[in-house]
Amino acid sequence: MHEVLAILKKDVRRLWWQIGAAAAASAILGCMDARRAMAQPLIVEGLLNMLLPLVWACLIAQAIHHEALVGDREFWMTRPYRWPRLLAAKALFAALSVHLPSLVTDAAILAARGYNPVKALPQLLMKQLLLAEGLTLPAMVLAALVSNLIQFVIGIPVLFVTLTAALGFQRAFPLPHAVAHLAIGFVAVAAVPVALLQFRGRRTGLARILAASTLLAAGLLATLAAAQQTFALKVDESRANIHPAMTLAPPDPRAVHGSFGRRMFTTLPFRFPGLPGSDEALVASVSMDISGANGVRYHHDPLRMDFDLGVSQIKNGATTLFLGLTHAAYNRIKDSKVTISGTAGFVVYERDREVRLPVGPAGDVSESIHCSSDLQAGQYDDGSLDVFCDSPSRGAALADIRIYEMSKGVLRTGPPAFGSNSSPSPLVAWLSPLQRWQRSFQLPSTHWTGDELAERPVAIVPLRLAGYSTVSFKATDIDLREYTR
Amino acid sequence: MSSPLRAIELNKTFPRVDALHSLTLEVPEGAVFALVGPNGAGKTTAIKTFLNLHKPTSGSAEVLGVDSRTLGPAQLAQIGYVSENQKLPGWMTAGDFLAYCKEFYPTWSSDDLDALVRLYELPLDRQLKHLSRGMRVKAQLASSLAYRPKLIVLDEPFSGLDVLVREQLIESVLERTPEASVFLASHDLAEIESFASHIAYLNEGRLAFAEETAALTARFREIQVTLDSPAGLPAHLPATWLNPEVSGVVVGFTDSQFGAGAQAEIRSRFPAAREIAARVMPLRSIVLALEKSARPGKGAR
Repeated sequence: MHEVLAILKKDVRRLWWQIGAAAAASAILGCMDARRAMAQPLIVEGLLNMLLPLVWACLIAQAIHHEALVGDREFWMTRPYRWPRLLAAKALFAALSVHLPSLVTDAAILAARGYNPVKALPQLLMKQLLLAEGLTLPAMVLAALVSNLIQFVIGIPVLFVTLTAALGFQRAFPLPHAVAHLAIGFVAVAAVPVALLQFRGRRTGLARILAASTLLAAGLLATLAAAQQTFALKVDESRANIHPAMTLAPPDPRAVHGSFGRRMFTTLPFRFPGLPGSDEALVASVSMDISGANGVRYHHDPLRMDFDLGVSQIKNGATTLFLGLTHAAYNRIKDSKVTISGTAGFVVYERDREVRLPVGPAGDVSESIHCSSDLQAGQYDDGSLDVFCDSPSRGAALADIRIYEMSKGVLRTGPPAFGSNSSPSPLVAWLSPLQRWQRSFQLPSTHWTGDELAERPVAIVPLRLAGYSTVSFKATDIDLREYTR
Repeated sequence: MSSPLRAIELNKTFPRVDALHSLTLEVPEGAVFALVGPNGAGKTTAIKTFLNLHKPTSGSAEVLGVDSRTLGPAQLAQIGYVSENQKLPGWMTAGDFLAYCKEFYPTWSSDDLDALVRLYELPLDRQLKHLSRGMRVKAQLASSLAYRPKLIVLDEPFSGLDVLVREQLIESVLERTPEASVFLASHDLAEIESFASHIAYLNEGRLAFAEETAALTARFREIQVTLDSPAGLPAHLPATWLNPEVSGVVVGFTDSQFGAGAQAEIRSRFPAAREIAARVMPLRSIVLALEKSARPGKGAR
């Protein structure tokens, strides 16, 4: 411990002003984050979110390079350093200069937003674990493999990829996490032998080959791993006992479909018998095969890339999948009966009791969701109501935001206010401990009297993560034309 | 007597460069062993291989009784290494550097350090990067002597230093012997002749010789034979007579095995010799003679 502290003290003495500057930047970012009452960060906050990890990475690299592991001229190499203590000192430096300020800032943000940081400690520590996985560990390994800061900076894009894989970027949606977490987990596990090779024996050549192979393998894993397979890992991990069926429903005459550009879009309504009525779910991954009687077969992943809560949410046990086939493909298959089969992975949320809030400052919807709203006057005797929610439970909590119109006696989800920044899916800035939602409702002024405002018009239904599930489906003798009429 | 440093058939090959060829040498305990040779001879590579900064391609080296490949903190705590091209933490003051080094050595003696700081007149409050080269070497040496290492390894430590500083540093290193053994690499022959107890000569990665300085200087003599009249060189001269030359009535060569019977041997080869002079050779001349004899077409005979 004596040597560990000596090395740490030396590194801190050398880098004190950089540590201070990074801590100050973290505090400024924390202030911006705590004050923000909108889902999207403003440009300065967004830039700081990208700049601060860069500063942290360079801090770690400088500390590692005080006892550079590449080369044969470093003074420390002929001194009786013990490699576990050297590694421990550098890890401790990263903990003190990166993780401690980050944790303190996160706790302060939560406290400022009305959450109890102690109760949110598991989430805060999980975020630090992801930060370590995505930034600290890769930065330490990268710094251990290069001989100077210039070479390290060239490798920075790799760190942005690993950090994005670990923490996500903007969206806190479960599917990217399933694939990316698998890849970043692989990188983190492989980083350990690379670090050991370098710190223990300075086997730079071998360590570089191993590190490059690991990144390549992780990239291939993230690119090639089937969404269903990686999602299956989530299902196993969650151990939720959710086993609904998935059946194709008759065509919905109100559905929007038809020819758009080079594709023919077909609306396929699905039902989920067995999914409790009080539950809602996000469709996270769908794999679909369409085969015609004439032997034509297509494989399609319509929601693999562009899914959103509004599009893929299973509500009241039903959802709609939009199938986009090229005109050539559609014409080849439309005249015969087809079989539609596949699998879907989805995240199931339990609906909690609806909470009604007045227009105004933050109110507690639940222990893990706070919402506020703000009435904005429009230019033409109209207005909009911005409803904003946040939660420290990344991906584990959602909120269904609606407003109650007393004059009509109905709850409504739209229309969105013109030019508003609605974000019904939760957004997470890289370094923020909070995920946020925002909905803006267009309000004809005549409907919004003082009485109505006093009537708690904001209706929030908190959704709590119940688990993950996959289901297979198959529908035979389907005439696709019926779904495109 | 055990050897603090030993190399057995040590080879080190870099891509496109064979740096060491079958280097075999043994440093006796308490010796001041100088490895000399021209620039690029492989002296630094040999030292870096001994200190596990490079892995040997084949062969082995033993340092303080341990294979160099497994040299660890326990051995490094007993080795003092000073090199002209070591990267030091230039941002540290000399005082901070010495205080930092202290943390790693259980045998560190603050009294010794104080004495060295006084002797070297080290400015403790100045950053290493702002010190002169001489002062930086002094700081390095102070940090390497204060824990009384069993083996002191110096790689061209004194080159470029003024005479007074050099003498001061040499003095303080020699004070550590014979408790410590010293292994020193240098290309400055005149410098090491005065204090090295053993000398090894390395050229293009090959060891030409390694022996006690006294024995080496005792066996080399510059011989000058003055004849009565000009004559050519006799055939079949001994192979230990290096670089024989004739200039008028004078025949000159280097006897590399000068001993008790040398005069008689010379007389038997040159019966017409009027005068035979045998001069003691400085190390520089010995090495020059060896190098000259090793050149193609001028090989030792």
